[in-house]
Amino acid sequence: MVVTVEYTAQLKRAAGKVREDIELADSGTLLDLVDAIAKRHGEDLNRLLRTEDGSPQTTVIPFVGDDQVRWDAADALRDGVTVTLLSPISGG
Amino acid sequence: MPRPLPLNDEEKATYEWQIWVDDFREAGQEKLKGASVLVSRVGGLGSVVAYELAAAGIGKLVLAHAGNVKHSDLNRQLLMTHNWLGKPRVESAERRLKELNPRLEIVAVSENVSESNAAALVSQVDLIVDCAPLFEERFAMNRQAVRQGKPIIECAMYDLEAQLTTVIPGQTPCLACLFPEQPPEWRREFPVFGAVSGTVGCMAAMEAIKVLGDFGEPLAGTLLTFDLRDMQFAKRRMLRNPECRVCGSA
Repeated sequence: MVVTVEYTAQLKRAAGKVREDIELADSGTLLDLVDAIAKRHGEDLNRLLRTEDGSPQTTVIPFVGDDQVRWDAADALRDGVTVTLLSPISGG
Repeated sequence: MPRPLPLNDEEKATYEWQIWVDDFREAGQEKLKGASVLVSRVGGLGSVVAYELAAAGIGKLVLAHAGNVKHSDLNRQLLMTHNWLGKPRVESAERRLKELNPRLEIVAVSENVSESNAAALVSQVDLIVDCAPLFEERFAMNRQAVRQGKPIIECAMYDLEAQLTTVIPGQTPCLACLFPEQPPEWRREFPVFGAVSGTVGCMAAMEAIKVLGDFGEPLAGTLLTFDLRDMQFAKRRMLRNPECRVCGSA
């Protein structure tokens, strides 16, 4: 399947793009998606997206369409969905 | 929620245009007059939030912000002025707000919100607008808002993007549901335009006015995200975390 990933804020800056398509196995999960993004991009994005042990940062929030999902949600992905990765931001 | 206070003739004249709003009316204005709001801090977001609330006729503002006005404040902190450089920010904010609305009661606190003062600051108001840049300040306010059962408007920005939601304790996800810990890579200083903070600040003020005036549909459980670079807006459904360290047992 192919999913479209949209990056926000610091993630967008590190990725150097707003969105991109990522191809996954049909059984792919959000964790597989993060692995695929990490392989495609450099350390700047990887550091924002994953902890040292490779698990997703709990402060990056995934949305499938307009619905927040948990990182460990089963069957969250299907062909053609858009996954938005929300970066933590604040006031100032 | 606030205790409504009757309007005098000057107030009826001042707020005439918004009293014409059908589901707000004079009863809504009386609620705003009786209401109090904590704004932390009064920087890019908080300046505009405080200014719009002062213009709308809120009864009392508690403003918390440490430090003196710097050159780098002036692209977005609209309550700060060039002639106040080097002087306390909250004094500049109080002065500007009083010029707009001399009836407004202001408690100006020259400290940022922290674990040590959050309970006392939150206890003075009906609602909080979180405009702070550091997550430790935001978590301290969120914890007290949930503990004291007071709504808190969460607003944030970066570059040309923004996030906005309204937390109703016991009903909606709270800030700690969304961000369970301090984001390790977040820094206090970041790229942003004043027109972005102004946009989010106006929206946050409107959320506060809706909650206090008991009309409209606040962003309860919904995260508004937008990017002014391409004018994309989205309303996203948030998940409440049953194991949240702040509201999980609320």
